[in-house]
Amino acid sequence: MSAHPIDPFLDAWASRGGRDGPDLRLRVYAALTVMPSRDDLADTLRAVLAWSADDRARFEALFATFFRESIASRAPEGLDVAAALVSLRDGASRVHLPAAEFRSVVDEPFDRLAFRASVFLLVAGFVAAGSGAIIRACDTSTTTDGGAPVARDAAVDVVTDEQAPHDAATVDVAPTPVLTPPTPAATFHERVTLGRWVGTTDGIAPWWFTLVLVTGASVALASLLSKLEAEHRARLPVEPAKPPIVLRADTPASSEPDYRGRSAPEPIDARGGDALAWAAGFARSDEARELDLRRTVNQSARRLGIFSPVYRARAVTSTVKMVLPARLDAVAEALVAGVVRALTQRNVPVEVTRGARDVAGAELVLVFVDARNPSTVPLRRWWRHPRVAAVELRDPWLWGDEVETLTVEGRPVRVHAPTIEGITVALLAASRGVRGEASRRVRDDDDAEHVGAAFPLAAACALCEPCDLATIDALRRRFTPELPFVAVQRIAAMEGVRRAPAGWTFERELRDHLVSRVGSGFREEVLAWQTQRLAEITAAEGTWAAALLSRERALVELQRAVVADDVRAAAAVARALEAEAASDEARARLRERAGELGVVLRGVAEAARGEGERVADARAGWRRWAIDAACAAACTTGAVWSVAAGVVEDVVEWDGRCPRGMVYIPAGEFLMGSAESDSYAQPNEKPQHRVRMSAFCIDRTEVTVAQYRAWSGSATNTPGTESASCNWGHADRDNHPINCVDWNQANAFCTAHGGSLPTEAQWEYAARGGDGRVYPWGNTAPRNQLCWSGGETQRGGTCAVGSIAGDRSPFGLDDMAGNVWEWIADYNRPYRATTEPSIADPVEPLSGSARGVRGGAWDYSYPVLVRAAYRSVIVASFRFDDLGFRCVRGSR
Amino acid sequence: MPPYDDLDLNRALRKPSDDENLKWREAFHYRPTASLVSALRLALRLQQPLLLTGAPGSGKTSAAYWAALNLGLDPAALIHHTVRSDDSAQRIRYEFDAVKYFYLAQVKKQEPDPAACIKHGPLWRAFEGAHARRTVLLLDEVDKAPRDFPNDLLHEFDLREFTVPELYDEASKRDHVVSARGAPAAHGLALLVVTSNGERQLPDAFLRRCLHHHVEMTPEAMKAIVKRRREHGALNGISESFGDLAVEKLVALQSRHDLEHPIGLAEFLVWLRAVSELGGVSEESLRRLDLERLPYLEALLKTPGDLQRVQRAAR
Repeated sequence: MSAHPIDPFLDAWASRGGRDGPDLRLRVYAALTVMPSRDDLADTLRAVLAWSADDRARFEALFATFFRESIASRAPEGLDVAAALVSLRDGASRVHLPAAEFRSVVDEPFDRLAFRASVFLLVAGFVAAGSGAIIRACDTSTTTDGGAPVARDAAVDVVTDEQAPHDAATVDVAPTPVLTPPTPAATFHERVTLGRWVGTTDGIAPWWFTLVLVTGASVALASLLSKLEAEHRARLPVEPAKPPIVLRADTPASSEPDYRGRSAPEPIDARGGDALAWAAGFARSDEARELDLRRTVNQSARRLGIFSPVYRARAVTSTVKMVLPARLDAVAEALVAGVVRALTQRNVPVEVTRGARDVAGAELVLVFVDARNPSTVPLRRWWRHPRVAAVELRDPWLWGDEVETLTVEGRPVRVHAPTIEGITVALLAASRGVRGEASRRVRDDDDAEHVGAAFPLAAACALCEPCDLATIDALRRRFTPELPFVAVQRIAAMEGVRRAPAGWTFERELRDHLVSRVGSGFREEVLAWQTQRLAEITAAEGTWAAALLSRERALVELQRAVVADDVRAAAAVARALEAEAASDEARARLRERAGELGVVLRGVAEAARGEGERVADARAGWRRWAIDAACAAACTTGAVWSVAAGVVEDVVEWDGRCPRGMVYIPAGEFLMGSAESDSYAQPNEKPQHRVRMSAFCIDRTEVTVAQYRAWSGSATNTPGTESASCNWGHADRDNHPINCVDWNQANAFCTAHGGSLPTEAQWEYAARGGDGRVYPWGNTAPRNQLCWSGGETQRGGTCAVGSIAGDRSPFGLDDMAGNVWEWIADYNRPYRATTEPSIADPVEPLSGSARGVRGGAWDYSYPVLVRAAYRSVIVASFRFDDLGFRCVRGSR
Repeated sequence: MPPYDDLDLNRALRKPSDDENLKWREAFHYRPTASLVSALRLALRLQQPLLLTGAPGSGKTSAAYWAALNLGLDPAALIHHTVRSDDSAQRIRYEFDAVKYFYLAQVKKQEPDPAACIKHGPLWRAFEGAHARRTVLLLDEVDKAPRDFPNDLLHEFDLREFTVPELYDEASKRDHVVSARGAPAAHGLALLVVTSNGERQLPDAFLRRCLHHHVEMTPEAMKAIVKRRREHGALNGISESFGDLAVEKLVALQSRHDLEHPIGLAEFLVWLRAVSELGGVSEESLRRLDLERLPYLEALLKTPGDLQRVQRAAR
């Protein structure tokens, strides 16, 4: 964290002869921390800075000019920042909560408006028809029908009709001359009530029938529609009122770092709660059903336009049952209560039962057992439940390795630590069938005394480094308020602390040492606090509270996406926020500021990246931090979400091992080729054999025209343009894969970028992963999930890379099937039978002019060709409009 | 439930009974400006001393009393020490009665208890009292003390503790420490207010450790005070418009003659009481009267120079 936002003012103050000094600055920062309201800004600054009458006069002058100017320069002209933030929040609430998302689909203008409009038109039509009839009736009675005999009671009816023209009991109809000219018989009956008319036998007029029938049908239709809509609404998941999520710890319990032992349960902070909810299936439990738009439209059409919603079911965790022993110690009780509260707050339905009752109805069972507590023994029978998470309540550091896996009735059951991570992993393992690793924290307090009571503060500083004075003081206030200022000096005196203007930093060893000695709860709390503080000091005009709300909501989603390593989902969330953000006008104004804010946000992301490598539990920690920071900055400054999206994408994608745009493929084993049993298998795909792969990086998409153009300097590298489907030279195809390049050009491109073409084994491993699937996306037959001509679309050329989402490989690669064939590094010889259990990183030596290609292309329609195991071969100097490439690199 | 954590301008104050110190009754009528409340609140939250400056009678002392009242504290919770010109920092902490000690040891021939020979000063009472209740310490008119006085208290102001070498604890090998720190959350030294009339330039090191607020005695503030007093039944026979007019007249008088000793709130209130109790001036006559011919000028003007100047102008 760099300079405090008030620093420019203090600089100006100092430059005008005002007193300055680190102690005064520190006091200003502290004062602004405890007096957050902007209304108090002048008083607060004056109280610290202005000591004499001279000072006061100077202060007033400076304050007026400085803040008036800076406020004017910060707010773009005419942009109501507060309003923009409000609409951002609205947008967030519409987009983000799954239930709300669900509703917004139904509330789309089409559905509701069309329905309302049709009802309105129907009613209006009949009102018009009715009044037309009355008018006509009056006309005929006074003019054309003047001499006709009119029954006395019929005349009374006319009066009634005029008084209540909408009365459904009296249907007054007018003969429409265009449709059916009135007959004399009809004129006689024109103004007779329906009941009377039905009773008469003579002169039945067909248009009356028509009208009555249409009326009846319309009323029926309208009521049916309204009933359907009502039913539909009733089936919507109702979002229960819940307290706003704030970034503080959910439990106000001890903020005291718990590094000395387990005297209190770890407090569940907002993120811990999110993680728990996510693990328990929260993301899905809200979306119990989702509207299947396509089938709804079809069904509605089939039912003659009656709106017939069709839902598709999702895998849902409907109830989490927590089974507890009859008695628990206070710490465990508090822990359980915290978990229940955190889950309930996030709409995860939780039921708590005590003792060995029946849990058959539950979809997910969380069992708390305690080996020292004999009353928990009967609970073990629930370990037979197919989706069970078992948490052992004993102190994790007392566990021996032998109890981590217990055998119950011959089946091994993994038990987890009674920590937030432990429960999260347990839930995850139970709900997803993922085999989680219980994290065990080793605590060691023998170094805690080195800096005495300042230890937690030092750890907090280390977590927030570079930590400037203002941050240190704010940390002190927040986490260790009992320490006096001088404690900060004690930290400064520690060996390994570097004091720089930007803030203090800690030598790596010291830092790791400090951080590893505090509980993860404390770490989370500090990071959350830092995020919040960032939001506060970048807040615009006191609206940070509102901004934080939307940010928190975005974070829930983003975190979910990030934990799932779903780059695109994370970016999409941010983009969706932007799309919904504000009115067109406000958005346009915000866009104007995007450039400037983009710099800021990217700076944040860069900083986060730089920080990231030093955070002890590197990956999850720093990524989350970076995204938090980006979101905080985006929300609180009213920034454009696409900028945030870009940052998120960058940050999430970049994991330090692969260059931007590439995906890390971890080392592993897979079965290369096709099994004998595969009816599609070609002879050259056999025999299937086991291959061990080292880790490498591979392009997420095929090399695009734009990428190729940025590199190709010489004429020898110019791709062909012989076919209209060659993408070279088409300005609108920058994002399409480069095609019409020969093997040498492709190879040259990859070499120039520090990599190479993938070997055949690398390609196949990247395409199908280790689970033996047939296609990159799994084993379902190809239809429309890839860019080829075998589906409903006949392609005339390539697709933009990554534009078709269905073909994602297990590692997140796009277009490993379809779009264009891809050159590989080597020639594909027949696989040889081998006696070895597996072959490591096989490479075929180059020989002759034939080179392998893989993956199928846009102009093919045979499923055989888009299988990941399919091998083909082309002469190296040939160029085709359905043949491109992607590159690999060694990982760091 | 008092005591409260924070100041609140809208809080209903406890009405002091008639036998309480006049200061408390004044504080009840006192109406601080928003910016004074901000400064008090800042001092409260930062736990740092607040230096109030301003002309005499501008309500500095009342501000501290008001804060104590507003925090819902008992009269005993406010430790008010008016600094004297011969005060030393040591006396503010405590006084060790060496004579008594000597007397006990030599004359009475007994092992004297040093604690019995220590007279607690206001700092001691405030710091120690902070463990039992919420306290406010007011060091009034600090500028009257010798120049070194504030500098000698820097450590106490910073750390809110001091040591007593006379009470050496053999067991722990440490001097006795009197500290306001470590008090229960509901207690503690809430405010440390220091006031100064600006008679003497205070040392820089001391100023650096304080928060500052200058109490301006604006006509508006005076009018508000008069109004509030009237609402509480004081100042019989003074109408609101009369009070406002009187304030304007006095401001005009002050600016016309550039008085040596500016008319403070205290003088003004005395004058108003004189008018209300002794009578002799109606609103109409006050409007018409020359400034210099106002009655009871003696109550307003405190120095012979000021009085002469005004009376000379009246002739």
